[in-house]
Amino acid sequence: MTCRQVQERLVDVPDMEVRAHLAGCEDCAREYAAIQAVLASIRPPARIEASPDFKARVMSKLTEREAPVRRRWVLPRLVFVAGAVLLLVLLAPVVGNLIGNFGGRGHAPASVVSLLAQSAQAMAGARSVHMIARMRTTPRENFEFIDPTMDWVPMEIWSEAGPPARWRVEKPGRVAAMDGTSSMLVIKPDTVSRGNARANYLEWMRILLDTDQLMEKELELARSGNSSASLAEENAAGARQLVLSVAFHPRRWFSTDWVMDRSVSSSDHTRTYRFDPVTRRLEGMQMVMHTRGVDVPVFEITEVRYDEVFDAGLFALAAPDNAISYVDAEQMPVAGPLPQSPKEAAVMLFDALSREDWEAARVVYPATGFNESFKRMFGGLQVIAMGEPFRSSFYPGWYVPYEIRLRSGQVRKMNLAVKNDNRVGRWVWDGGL
Amino acid sequence: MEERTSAQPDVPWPQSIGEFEALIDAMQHKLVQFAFCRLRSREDAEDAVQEVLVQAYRDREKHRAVANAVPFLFRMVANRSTDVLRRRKHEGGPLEDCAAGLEARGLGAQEAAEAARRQRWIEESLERLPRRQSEAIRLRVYGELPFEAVAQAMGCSVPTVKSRFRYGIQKLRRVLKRQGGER
Repeated sequence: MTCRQVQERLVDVPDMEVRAHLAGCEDCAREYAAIQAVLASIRPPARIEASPDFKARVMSKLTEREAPVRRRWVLPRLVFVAGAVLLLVLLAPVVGNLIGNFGGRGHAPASVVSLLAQSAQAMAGARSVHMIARMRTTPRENFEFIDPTMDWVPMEIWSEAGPPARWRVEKPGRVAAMDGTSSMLVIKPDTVSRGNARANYLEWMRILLDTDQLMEKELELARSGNSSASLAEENAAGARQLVLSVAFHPRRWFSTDWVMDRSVSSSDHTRTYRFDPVTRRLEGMQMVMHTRGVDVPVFEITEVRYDEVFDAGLFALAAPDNAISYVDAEQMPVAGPLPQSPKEAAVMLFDALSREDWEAARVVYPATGFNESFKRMFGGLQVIAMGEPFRSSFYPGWYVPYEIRLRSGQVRKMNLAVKNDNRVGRWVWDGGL
Repeated sequence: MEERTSAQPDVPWPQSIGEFEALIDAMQHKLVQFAFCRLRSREDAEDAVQEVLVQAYRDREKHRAVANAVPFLFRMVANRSTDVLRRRKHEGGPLEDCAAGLEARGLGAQEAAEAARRQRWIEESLERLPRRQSEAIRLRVYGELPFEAVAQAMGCSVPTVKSRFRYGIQKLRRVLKRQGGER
């Protein structure tokens, strides 16, 4: 062994080979002794043990309910506005032009822009961000889907600064991850979609992955007229907080409100972000949907952790055994004529399901196959009625109203989503079963 | 240096109250000692470890696939300790009852004061190193973790962690020399 090889191994417990070298090499022996001396000098001078009641204290905490959200911001809108005005008046002498309130196609005050730059810089310094969140939604639906009538579903968002940047977003029935070069979506138990690093599996939620740009993006939205934003300092439980409120008003396109209040992008809501006024880092967020005269919290980031070290495997999803994969339209089979309209696509899909002709169903359904639970549920269904297709809000496809009776006897009345915004213009199923 | 934990089997992330209790039995003293070296306050160390353990239990589902929870618990305690120190610095509170903590452990007053002074000196020396090097040293020396576990805790390879450790020790030697000799 050379001296260099030995010195690289001196921090380990020396094995026989290293010990033999040390016995005959004065330089390496001296180096080894010096390392041991440093280690001895930094070894803790005394050992301490946990208190006798430590375990009991920890165990008692386990059975406590988890801490509630730090603050409840849901207030009647009038009170909220009145409070904001009062806050502006009270804090004006203290924070001066720190406070900005603007919307439409206005310009942010220079001090606000400066503040945003500080915040972006502070959060850009984070190696990783881990958000604990919850959403009123269903476990398996897409990450954009919200439903104010549903219970909370826990969510977590992990993002790691690059290069290459990596992220993972998870709720009980759906997980998406990007490992730096490609991304994967797993819809439990066995459905998978694969895409490149920019695949849009997160919809609106993608904005949360770039915390350093979060404030700027939100205020950019306000400048473009899609929302109105206000920035203020507040005192909560004795602690100062920087609060950014974004009131989002979706455009109401098309003839029906079918998708209204069913997704983040199509609901009238207020997003309230809390930032630490000293570190300028995001501390939490709440989204309150304003629906039918009621304010309902639908999404909350209850905790944000910075600079955690993530296991590399966190960002690499493994496809379940015998996974069924979603495929692009150009990879779908062509067995006879293809549907030429949204309604034709719906008719062909239901016809194939009623006959349990799974290959024919794949002409419209963009997947490599169907799992057994899907087959049990939809195989042999009977179509009771089909309505005329319609469009709603921002959704690029069409909705086809339908009423079917499943083999179990259950009657289902919903809207099937189909779209053809793919590269080959093919009508494919996109949801609503 | 002794490999005190290398022979221990992997500890899967506890999924039940019973498994969690066994984990506390096995790890509580090591984790509190690890936090105490950095925070120099028994109360803060126990609070930090308690928060980590409770969080570890609440997040058990997400960590189900973790083969060995030990390195991650040390990492979580290290992170929590950093938060406590940051908050302490922000709030300006010194909160150093290290000697009291050691007296409670059974040391005499003079002995405890000397140990407290020495622990403070060790931490001040480590704080002069690049963060990743001091992290590797703390996990290895305070946590008594084998290099494989340190690597898991830091999310990097074993050669990388050994290299960080070695460079950290070399820098520490220079720091100690500047301070007047390796004490």
